[in-house]
Parts: sequence; C-alpha cells; structure tokens
Amino acid sequence: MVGRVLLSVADGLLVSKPTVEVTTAAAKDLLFDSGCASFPIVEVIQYQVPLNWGVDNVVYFSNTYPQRPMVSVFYGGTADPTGIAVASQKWFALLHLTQVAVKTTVTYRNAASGNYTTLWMKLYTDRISFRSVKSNSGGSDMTAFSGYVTIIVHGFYS
Amino acid sequence: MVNRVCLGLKGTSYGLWISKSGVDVLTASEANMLFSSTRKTIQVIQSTSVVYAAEAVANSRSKTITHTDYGFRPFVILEFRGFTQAEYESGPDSTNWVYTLSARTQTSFTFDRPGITINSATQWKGFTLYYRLLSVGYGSI
Repeated sequence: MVGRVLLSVADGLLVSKPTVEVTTAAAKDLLFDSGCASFPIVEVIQYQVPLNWGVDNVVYFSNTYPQRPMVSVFYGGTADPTGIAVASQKWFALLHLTQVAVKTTVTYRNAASGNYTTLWMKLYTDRISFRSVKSNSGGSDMTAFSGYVTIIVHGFYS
Repeated sequence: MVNRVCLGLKGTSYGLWISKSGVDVLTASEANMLFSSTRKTIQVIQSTSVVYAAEAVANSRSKTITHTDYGFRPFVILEFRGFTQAEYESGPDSTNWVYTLSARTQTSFTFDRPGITINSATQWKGFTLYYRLLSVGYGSI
C-alpha cells in the first residue's frame, strides 16, 4: 500500500491517484493539489433558450459574484434534458470574461445559402445572456439558436 | 451535526472525502461529495500572461509562451483582457476559449493577435493574453 494523502505545513494538501505514492507523484498523477486554484461548482442552472432573433435572453445567477465567474455552458438539445447527465450533453463554451461584459460567440452554418447564425453569450457578475444574430439581416433561411442549456458556475476568479 | 470530513480509512479504502453540508461523509454517495480522492479535480497547474503592445500595422503579431512538460497534454484556457466592449464586438469571434495542445511534447504556444475593426479600419490593439494550463487533458486521467 502507498501513501495517497499528504497533509503538511510545507506541502499543504496533496492527493495522488490510486497506487501512486503521493510524496513522489508527478503532476499528472495528482488528483488534488492545494497549491493550485480549483473550480468548485457553486451553482448549476437549467434554462430553455427561446427561439427568437436579436434579443438578449437573460438568465440570472443566484448571487452577484465579486467578479465574473468561470462558467461552463452545455447544450442539451431541443428536448428537456432533465435527468440527462451533463457529461452526455454537448459542451458548448467556457466563459471567463473580465473587465467588461463582452461577447463570446458560437457560429454555426444552417442554411444552404451559406448564411450562418451567431450565438452571442454575454457574461456579467450576476447573469448570462444568449442572443441569436443573423449573418445576413435579410436572410430568411436561418434558424435562431434555441433549446435547453445547462449553465455551471464555477467559483473561480482571476 | 454530521461528519463531513474523512481522512484515512473509509470502508476498505484510504483517502480523503468531504461531503456536502448536512450529509454524513461516512455513508455519503459519490454524488454527495464535494471532494473525493477517487476522482480528479480540475485545477490550474500553471498560469502566465503575455502583453501585446498596440501596433499601427500587423507587425510583431506573434508571441510565444512556453510551459512545463507535465507528462500529459493539458487543456489550456486563453483569456484576453484590455479590449473595450465595442472592440470585442467588432473583433475576435471569441474572447476566450479552451485550447488543446497538439502533442504532449508541445511546450510552447504561439498566438497571432487578432485585428480589431474600428471605424472600418483594422487596428492591432494592445491587450494581455492570459494562458492557463489545466490539470486535466489527454493522458492525465
């Protein structure tokens, strides 16, 4: 048997993978290192983005955070993903924006014409918003983003 | 009050477990753990930044960041700071993203600055790029 947990004033807390001696473990063999910043999950929100254009669809967090938090967004599809594990959903974006409420975009082509839909996601300290934008304002063959998303807020700040 | 931290022997295994508030760590399922030494935690194992000075033309667009070979291919978070909201909205399609290194032995990363369109002209603004290596990636689990 090997030692897997090291708790000391000098090293802090280290936890190694099973069968790996913690006092000599390489970085890839550590499950946890208190010397590194972590991403604890502080809240998980399920939200159905409505199908519309040019409108910020806003989801409020349960708290106003000191800074914009790290946020992961998963797309669950058009069906209600309640009961579906996050791991089986499509990872959509990871946001960690600072200073101003800025966009991060996901673009997808969905028309034979070559027009495409851009999804803007804006992150604030207390909310996140989703907005579908047309690449061609006169285009009628595009589809706005809609469906169920899972938003995971991580307690990580710069 | 319930036990929430177990360090040592639990069942037949040694390790460290921390349960959610109100849940007894000695009987908690994995879903009720805040931390379990049976699972990997996402952490930042290295963080650095590089400053891009403003340029009138597309000179000196590339900068290279080097990092340690940790024995696996870590995911990387790139984060930009220094643009205004209007500049973001006319500039790069994404303001940050997760990047995957092409190989475990890739220990440097070169980034070309994006051009920002302001008043119909492309400009190369000054900004700071933050580069963070995560503890998860190919070969880490």
